[in-house]
Amino acid sequence: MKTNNTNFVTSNLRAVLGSIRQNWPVVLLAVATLAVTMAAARPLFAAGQAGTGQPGQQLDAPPAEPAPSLTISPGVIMVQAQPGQGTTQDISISNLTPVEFRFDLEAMDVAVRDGKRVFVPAGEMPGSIARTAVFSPPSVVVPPGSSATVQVTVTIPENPAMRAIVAVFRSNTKVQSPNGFAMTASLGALMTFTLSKTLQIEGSALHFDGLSQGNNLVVSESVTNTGNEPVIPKGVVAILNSTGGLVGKVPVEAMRLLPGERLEFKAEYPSTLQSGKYRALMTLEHDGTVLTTSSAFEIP
Amino acid sequence: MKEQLRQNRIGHDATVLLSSHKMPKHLWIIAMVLALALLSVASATAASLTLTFRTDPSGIALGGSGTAAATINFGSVHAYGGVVPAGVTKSVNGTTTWTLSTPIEVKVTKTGLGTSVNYTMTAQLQSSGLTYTWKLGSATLTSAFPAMVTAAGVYGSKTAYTFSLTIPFSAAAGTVNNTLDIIVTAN
Repeated sequence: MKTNNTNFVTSNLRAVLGSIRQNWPVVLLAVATLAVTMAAARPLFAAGQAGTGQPGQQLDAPPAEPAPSLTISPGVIMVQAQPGQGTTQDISISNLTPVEFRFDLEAMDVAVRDGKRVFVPAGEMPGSIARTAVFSPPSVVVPPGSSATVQVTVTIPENPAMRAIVAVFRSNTKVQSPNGFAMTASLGALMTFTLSKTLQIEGSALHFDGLSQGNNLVVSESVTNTGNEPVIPKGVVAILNSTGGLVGKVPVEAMRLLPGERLEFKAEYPSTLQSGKYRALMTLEHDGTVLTTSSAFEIP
Repeated sequence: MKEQLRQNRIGHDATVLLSSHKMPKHLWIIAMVLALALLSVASATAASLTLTFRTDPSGIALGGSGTAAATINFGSVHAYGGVVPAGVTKSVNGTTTWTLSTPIEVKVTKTGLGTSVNYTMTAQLQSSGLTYTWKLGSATLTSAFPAMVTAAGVYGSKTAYTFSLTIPFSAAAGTVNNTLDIIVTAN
């Protein structure tokens, strides 16, 4: 049977070569397509590592050469699950530095206090998700130019107190520093958990900055996640004139809101407004739900 | 034998594609190449986070600047007199303590993390350093737990944080060694 397989593959190799000979313009076109596509795709470890960091540089612009850095991938994992269920995820770390790194894997809960995130040691809070995290392997040594992948398995408790954890590659690297102080880097992957459909956000009154002629107008709104699950609202600000006509629209960048978390969603109107009375409408959308807040303002 | 051969064909996706005669061969070639192209895009856009330390233009020269493992060597410094390295500020706080401080730069970049507009950075000492007060920005550092340095770091920008070491006059003269672990997570 092995012989048959070998013959089969060999005959198909001949068929492919024959096909290439007969269809060389098509092959040329296909190879060109592949080349263009690969050129457009940014390399996994190099993106955003531009060493120059010039002002105005696009954040994710690919550099000429990869910087000697640490990279974690993925940086965020969003899980939809039910209490009691488990999930296993792969997280990789790449070491593009000239030194060997040793990492111990650790999970921390991400709680929200006074509208802000805090990292809490695993098991410190009741309903801790991080406490259930099991890493395989629990520590890794990553030589220069190499990468390592770790599996993290998390079991969601029946009544989890939070909806996010961080899985951290904690550096346990002994940096050579005979007489002084050393710094070493650790990277964490945020894992969020959506366990129900109880999604809700609440806004506040719109706030305006730059309300004078010649300044760029900034419209912002403090938004709180009052539901039980993480949400990622995004939207648009529309500027209307006194007759209700549309003057312009500006997108509002999407941001992740954990339950209880409060963030400022803002948009900067890119051109100056003439003096007059206006109305701003900020519309935020998430998971099919829309929150609209409106407020009048005047440019003197 | 024919049945086994067919099963073997099915077991090799590429072989099945190439041996088919129902579709013109050149279309199969295009399909294969496009599939490879799609695979390359999928791997290239995997969401990732990158961290490097850099020497600040007005700070002390870091050993290993531009990498993820850097060193600071203050040299031999005294509360009164002596030489302070370039980029380091020494201040004497009354009669109780004296402080060495220097800015350091941290750069975090992201790829494919569209919904993460900023990052959280915490820091923790690897060894207990209770005799001294260690700070990064406004965060006081300990070995017990990561202290919050910033909850909304800006991707792609080289952000300077002032690192400071405060030494009580009551401390005996000696070598101060420690390692600061900087932990970055996407928001």
